[in-house]
Amino acid sequence: MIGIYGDSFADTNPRELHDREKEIWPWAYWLGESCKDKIECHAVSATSLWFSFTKFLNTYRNYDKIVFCYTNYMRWNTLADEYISLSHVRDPNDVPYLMPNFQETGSFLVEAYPILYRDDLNRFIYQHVFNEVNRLCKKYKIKLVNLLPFENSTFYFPKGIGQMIDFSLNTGPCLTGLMEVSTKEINDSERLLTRLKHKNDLRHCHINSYNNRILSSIIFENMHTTNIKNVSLDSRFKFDERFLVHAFDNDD
Amino acid sequence: MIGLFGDSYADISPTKMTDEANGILPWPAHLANLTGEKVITHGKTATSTYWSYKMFIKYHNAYDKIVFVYSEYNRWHTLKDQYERLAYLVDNDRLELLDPQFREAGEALMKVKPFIFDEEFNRFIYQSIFDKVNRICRQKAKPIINILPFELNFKDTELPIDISEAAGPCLTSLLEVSLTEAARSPFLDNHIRTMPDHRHNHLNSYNTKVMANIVMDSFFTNEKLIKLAKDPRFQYDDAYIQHIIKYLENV
Repeated sequence: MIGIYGDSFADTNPRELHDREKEIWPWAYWLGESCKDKIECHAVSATSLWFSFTKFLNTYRNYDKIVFCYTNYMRWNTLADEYISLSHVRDPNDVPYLMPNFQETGSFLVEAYPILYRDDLNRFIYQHVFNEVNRLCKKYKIKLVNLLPFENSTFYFPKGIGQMIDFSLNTGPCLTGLMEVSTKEINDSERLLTRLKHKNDLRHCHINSYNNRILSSIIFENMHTTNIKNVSLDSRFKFDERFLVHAFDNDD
Repeated sequence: MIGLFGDSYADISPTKMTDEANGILPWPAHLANLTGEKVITHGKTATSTYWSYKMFIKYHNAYDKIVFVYSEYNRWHTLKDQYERLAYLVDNDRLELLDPQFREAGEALMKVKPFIFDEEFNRFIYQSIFDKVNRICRQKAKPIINILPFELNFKDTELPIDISEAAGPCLTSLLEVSLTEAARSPFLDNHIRTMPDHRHNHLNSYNTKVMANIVMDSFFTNEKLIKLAKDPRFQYDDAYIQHIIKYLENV
């Protein structure tokens, strides 16, 4: 059985858009099919690295294969479960967009952010979560794929090249650069760009339906290796708007 | 040269209590006298273990031997440098003791704490720092002593972290020594409830010497875990806080 952990890059929602016949399916399901194995997805959109790690600690022994997707390390790590949707809140401008019942907590977070946020500590935690996930999977002979969408991306690095942490203790492949694929889809589609200015991203895992399948192939091909691979350099990804239609035709 | 990292248990203040002629010194100064080695402390009162870790990463290469004191692990690890003195602020009771310029920041911390406090997260940071510090010392062949003042005090029987990565002995329960001093002295008990603790390293003048002796011996021990509060050499007599009583009478 395959266990999947992480944020929106691994979340299988929105489930109402799943359509196997039309090949509109998140990469996790394609991977399950390739591996002829069941999947269990613990990934939740907008959550922190610590959230994914605690889910992992509670359940990892249930699986013989794991994909761990490392989210943006700069999020609030320790929000109580009922507030996990606030993990990105740091700017006063974020508060008015929150649900009314979250606005007070959101404003407390914004007020505390300049006092409490330390980039070096969050990076330290990121490194140690990575090391610990890899150590435990090695110890219990679990096949692990490290999916690091924000590494080798312009989200972390102006030139899109670089690693925030040291991968040397990896026990499975490290797949970086997925954020670049997601961003290129937006940049290549005026319609998607316009939509995302006002509405939620309905693409599964922030990539189009074709690219979800390609990503699952890349994960499958690398599963038994310790390769460090920038997936954004893979020429199989396609950026055609026809693979985004489901994300336009539905509303959230 | 010995490098010392940590919080108030590694700090040499309050310096106005220091009286070299009468042997009233913080334990790092006694350690320097005992060993003949230079002891440089990067300890700072009220700080978090993460703050000490940053100091360690920055300065450890300068030393042959390391003593690392781990703070109470539920302090704020995440504070920006200019707010580090608020690391100990974990409940509203302490808010009133803050300097006015830190009051606003302290209030912001107290407001957000119920939404972000996570003991497991703090323990993970503690464990990660412990492992990393000990691994570095092992790799660089630097003898290390780990001091965990807040662990195994009184009836505590379990450590909150796994010490299997320790590259040197772990000295616990120093807080119990500090609190036992206060429990045996009404003056001291009242003193630490109402104002900052004037003892060096929260120990009386006799016990700082005992502590220095234990630390010196610990560089040569094979014991992995040493419970300091069980050491019969510690003394709990008011005679060893006379310098504080006299000082406060004159203030």
